[in-house]
Amino acid sequence: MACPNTKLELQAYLDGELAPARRAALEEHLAQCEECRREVEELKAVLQVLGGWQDREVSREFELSLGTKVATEDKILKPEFVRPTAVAAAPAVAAAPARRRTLAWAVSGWRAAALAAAAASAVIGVVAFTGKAPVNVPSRVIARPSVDIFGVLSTATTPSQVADGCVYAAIVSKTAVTAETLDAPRVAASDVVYAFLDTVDSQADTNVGRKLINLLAESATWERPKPRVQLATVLDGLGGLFVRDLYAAEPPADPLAEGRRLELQGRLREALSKYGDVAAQGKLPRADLAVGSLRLRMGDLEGAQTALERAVGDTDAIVRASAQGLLSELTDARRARGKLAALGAVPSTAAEWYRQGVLEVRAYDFRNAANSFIKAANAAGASDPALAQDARFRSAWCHKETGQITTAVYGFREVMGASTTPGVLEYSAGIEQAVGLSRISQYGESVAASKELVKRQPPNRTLEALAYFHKGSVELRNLKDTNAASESLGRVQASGQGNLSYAALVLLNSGAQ
Amino acid sequence: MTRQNGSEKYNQVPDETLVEIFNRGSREAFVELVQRYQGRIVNFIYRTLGDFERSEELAQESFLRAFRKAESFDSRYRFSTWLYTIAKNLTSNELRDRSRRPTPYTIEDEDWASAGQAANEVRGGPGEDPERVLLNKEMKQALEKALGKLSSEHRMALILKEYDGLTYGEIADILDTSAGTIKSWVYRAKREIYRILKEMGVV
Repeated sequence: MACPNTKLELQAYLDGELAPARRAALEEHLAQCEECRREVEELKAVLQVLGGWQDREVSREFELSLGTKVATEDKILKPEFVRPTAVAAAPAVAAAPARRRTLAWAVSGWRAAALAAAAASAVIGVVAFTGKAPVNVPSRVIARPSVDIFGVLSTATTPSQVADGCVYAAIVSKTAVTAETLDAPRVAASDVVYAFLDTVDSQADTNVGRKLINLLAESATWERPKPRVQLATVLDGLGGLFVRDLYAAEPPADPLAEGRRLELQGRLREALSKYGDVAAQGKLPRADLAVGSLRLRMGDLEGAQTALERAVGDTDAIVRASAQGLLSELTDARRARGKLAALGAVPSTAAEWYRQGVLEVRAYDFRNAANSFIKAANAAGASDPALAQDARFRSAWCHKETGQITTAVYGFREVMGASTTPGVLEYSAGIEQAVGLSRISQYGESVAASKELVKRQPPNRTLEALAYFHKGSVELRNLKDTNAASESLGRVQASGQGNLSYAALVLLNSGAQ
Repeated sequence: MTRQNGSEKYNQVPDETLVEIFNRGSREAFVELVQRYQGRIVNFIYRTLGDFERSEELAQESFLRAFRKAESFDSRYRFSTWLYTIAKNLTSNELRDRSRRPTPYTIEDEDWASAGQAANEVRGGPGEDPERVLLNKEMKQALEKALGKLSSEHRMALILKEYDGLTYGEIADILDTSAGTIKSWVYRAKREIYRILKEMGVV
């Protein structure tokens, strides 16, 4: 194959837009043509740098301010649609029953914004949007769902009207409804209705919901929804929890979720072979990404690169972006390995060992890093306890990364035990210890460790919520102790911790089924 | 470079249906659309202008226009393309106004991180060493310079492709040209960026 007609061909190749035959021909050409290869590398380098600019989270005020502007336009937001039914004082400290209240806040946000615009009270808007009540402000504001929704729900008599009503209800109760529950409206209707019921707080609203359930029950096409929510990767509690990870289709079992489970248990080779099988079949787009990230984590840079380059050609933008991100990690790992190779003398001081450990982590050489950090901790000893503690934590973390969960658990326990008043590091170690125990199927011990942990003074609310979240998920999934789980997860749900609170709600709902 | 917010992942009612529901009188449908797109529109404008402060205001103005004009929305078209077009027009106006008094193109420090760093922070795991932080900083400055130099059309095409993940066809609709032209704009934008990155010694 001669040089491609235009450089755009190379771009199309990187975009994953070439037909397989074309792609194969181009790859063959790339193997021989240095100029084209350089061009591809340069375009990739640009993508990697672009990848450093992360999306900005929109500020919380954005919606409130927009809501106020919209209300001012007064096109739809008529005052009579906005009727708060209950404004009552509640204790400032959130207790377990606060779960419902938090949800109602999330739902009534927009209406509260309209209220604010109507000069009823600017404070209510703030309460609704932050989910936190400033001191001396009524902490319970529940607006009644708007008339149109109630109209549809209470007069629905045919399946299609029911489905319509469900979509409306779903929009109102959106915090509790997932995409999966909406793709087949009737099948999923009961999920939606229950979610809706959970967001309302008056007898009238409850009656409407009940009526809807009766209608659904009478409908000939009604099917009970199969539980679609499988709590596959809750265990990854500390690892940047995304609600999406809570879902895995079942049945059929998702082989990637299975691989993920093995990976979490530290059975890295089994996980890799699982991912590898799926990737070889070429059916699931995320398999290459999974193989790439796991190989990278296992320190196999070449293997990771091959898989990630395949993933970069994927059609899914998120897979592409993630793969590009990991490729830039990989480039950096190579650079770090170069530096390590250039290091001359064996470290002698704690700081030197620590620095070598950091470099080894960058090089994705967790095995040696775990060792270096332990050396750093020992060298620091009593002369620099803070450094020793930090290094011990990092060592345990590296053990976890290499799949040596038991060793990691002991390491975290040591960090946790070294202090009676835990800081962020100690408290994190406590959570990691509990998570680790559950990964090696020591569920009772895991919950016991969590219980010990939550007795202590938490350094911040997020970590406290994480500790309860993990405790609750093990109680629910592994120990089948619904009561204990409701208590733990109810706290997380009421803690206003974004995705984590939402995840707790999902867990709670799944437990009720 | 993830650009989805929570609500979007979990609600599969199509955008166009939501516009219809909104036009029948349900403002919740509009709220859903706002929640679905606010992140993407704000970030699109932010990256086009290099000015985060202004981007939220312009994004709000975009939604307000969509709110006013929803009745004239033709549901044979994609809502996303329509909304991006509104945002693009507002942003282009802003850039035109600015051409007389040039403003620096800025990536906020807090939005700049190498992939994997954020994950490590959440995990409480090993962080960054100073050298890497330095290289990162240089990369950010180089990218600011490079993106700031691009023509607004090339910049928008690149952003819509690489950050927003739109297809060439969708971008062509938004920027009112052909898909072929967009491909070449995106390519030229990347080459120009590479040239500047190289000049500044970060690649």
